[in-house]
Amino acid sequence: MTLNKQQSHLLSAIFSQQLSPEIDDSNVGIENASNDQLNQQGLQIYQHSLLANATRALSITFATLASLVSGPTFTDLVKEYLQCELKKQYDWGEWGTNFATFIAQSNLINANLLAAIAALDFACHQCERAQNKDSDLTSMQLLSSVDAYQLSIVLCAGATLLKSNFPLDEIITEIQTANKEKSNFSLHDITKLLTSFNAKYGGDTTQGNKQLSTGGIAKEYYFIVWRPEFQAQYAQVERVEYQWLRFWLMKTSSKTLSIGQALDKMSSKNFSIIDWLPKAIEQQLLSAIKLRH
Amino acid sequence: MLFLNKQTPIDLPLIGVGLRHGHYNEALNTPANIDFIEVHAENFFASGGASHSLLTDIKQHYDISLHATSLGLGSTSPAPQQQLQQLANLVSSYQPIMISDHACFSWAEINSQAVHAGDLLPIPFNDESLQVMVNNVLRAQSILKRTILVENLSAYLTLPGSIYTETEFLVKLCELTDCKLLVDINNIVVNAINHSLIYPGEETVSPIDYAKNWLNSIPAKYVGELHLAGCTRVTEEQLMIDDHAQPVSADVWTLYRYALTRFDAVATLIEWDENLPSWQTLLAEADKAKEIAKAVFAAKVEVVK
Repeated sequence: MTLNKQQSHLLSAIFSQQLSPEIDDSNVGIENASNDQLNQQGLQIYQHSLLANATRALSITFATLASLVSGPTFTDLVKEYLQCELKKQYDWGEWGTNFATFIAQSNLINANLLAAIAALDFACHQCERAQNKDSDLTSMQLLSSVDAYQLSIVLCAGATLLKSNFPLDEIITEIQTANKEKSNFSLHDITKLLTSFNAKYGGDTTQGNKQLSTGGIAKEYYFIVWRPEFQAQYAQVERVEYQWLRFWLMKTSSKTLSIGQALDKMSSKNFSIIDWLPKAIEQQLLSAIKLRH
Repeated sequence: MLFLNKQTPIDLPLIGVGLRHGHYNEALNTPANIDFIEVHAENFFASGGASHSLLTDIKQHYDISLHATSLGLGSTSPAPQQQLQQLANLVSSYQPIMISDHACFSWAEINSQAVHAGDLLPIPFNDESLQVMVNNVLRAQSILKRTILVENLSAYLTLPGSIYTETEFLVKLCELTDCKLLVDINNIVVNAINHSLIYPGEETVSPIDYAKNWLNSIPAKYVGELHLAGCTRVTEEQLMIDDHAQPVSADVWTLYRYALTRFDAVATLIEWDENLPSWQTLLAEADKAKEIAKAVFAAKVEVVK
């Protein structure tokens, strides 16, 4: 067996997380096949190590989610996920892009709601890892001296937008508050709360149900995730603000659009840049105002 | 180029500790009398955020050693250029006194896709794997513009096809690439303990004798750093895992004395990753290493007199 094949076979055996007949020592190319039990033990060590590393990495990336399900449940999820998404990234911090989608399709109780929380976790995690940007507050002076059609907006490092069928901020805050107030708050209590939120927003506890608001129309909630310093924050925003922020985060428009053009493009007249600007500056969401070239 | 000579007048080795998340605050708020801090390079691979701010602060207090765990220098599927470039960026930004990774493979193809093991997997010691590792080390050194240290592995199974011993393989690697070795003494001890389980028919050798033979097979000129650690005890039927979850073991301290005598004042690092102790306990391990070094080199001076 070539070295290339040997390495591929061992890695496949480790990711399989099984000691099945089709992954025996001769397939993996492990020496000393007569000492079968120990070779299996060695393979198991690498399998356990992979699962432990993967679980640790995803519990950091999906910290809120990990706090809402039991440790064994989370580990089982990770074990299944390893079968769906091989680790193509060398950095554990970048692994887990499709974890939220995977959870939505799982048999987990409250899967849709937990998937939505996972999506928010991942957005926060990516936000915290995004390239730093220097903020230039003095550039705000341009707003009073230069035509809005000559200016554009730069949002802070890691800013990103998210849509969900759940008011995630309210749900997470309510669970955290209940956890603080009750000394014996258990995972069972968390699951009960999650189930009640699922019911409230029109879903049930099984997988695959579209969350519906009253009247059967899916309601969407909009979130901005941003990083004033190093820790990501999130907040629910109105649809109109979501549309506004999108202009500055989309690759196609963020570099070409002026503030004046963006305001002209807003479909709703309910958006006021006069109200938005001081709030965005205070929240450190706005990083700079730039002259367009 | 390696900067390993920042030594006190009596030629003591540089002694450092591995910095883990649980100690970040204490390392910054109560700077310790240690010569360097080792960080895992991958923990600082994010484009931005708190980790870089932390490393900048750490750099103000300590020299940094950059220990990578993901290059997979023995992989037939070489590490992506971006991965090496990220490491090169860290090297450029933080000017580490040492850069290291392992004699293992981490990248391989599954269903024609390059997959990363997230672990340090063993390689057979033969000409094919030597050539692969030589190419990967030379490539890494060319991109990083620095000589790197390659660490010996603790392995829990053996891939067939070896024609060299581990030390023969590592020495050849040094000869062909000018890299140096990071000799992890605990890894040698773990392999020694597991050896009798993996090869039950072979003559039993004590871990100390096994490790001394190992150390004797490496020319001193190739050793650039030593790692010391401890791991959790297991039953006689179980393979020992190099979990870095305990204080440095008595056997490893004994072998450290031996290694210093053999390799001279080589930079030394205390590793402790799991079951993390207090910062002060970790520093006490570094102090113990320093005391041993003082004793070894004082004895050497006596002999020379």
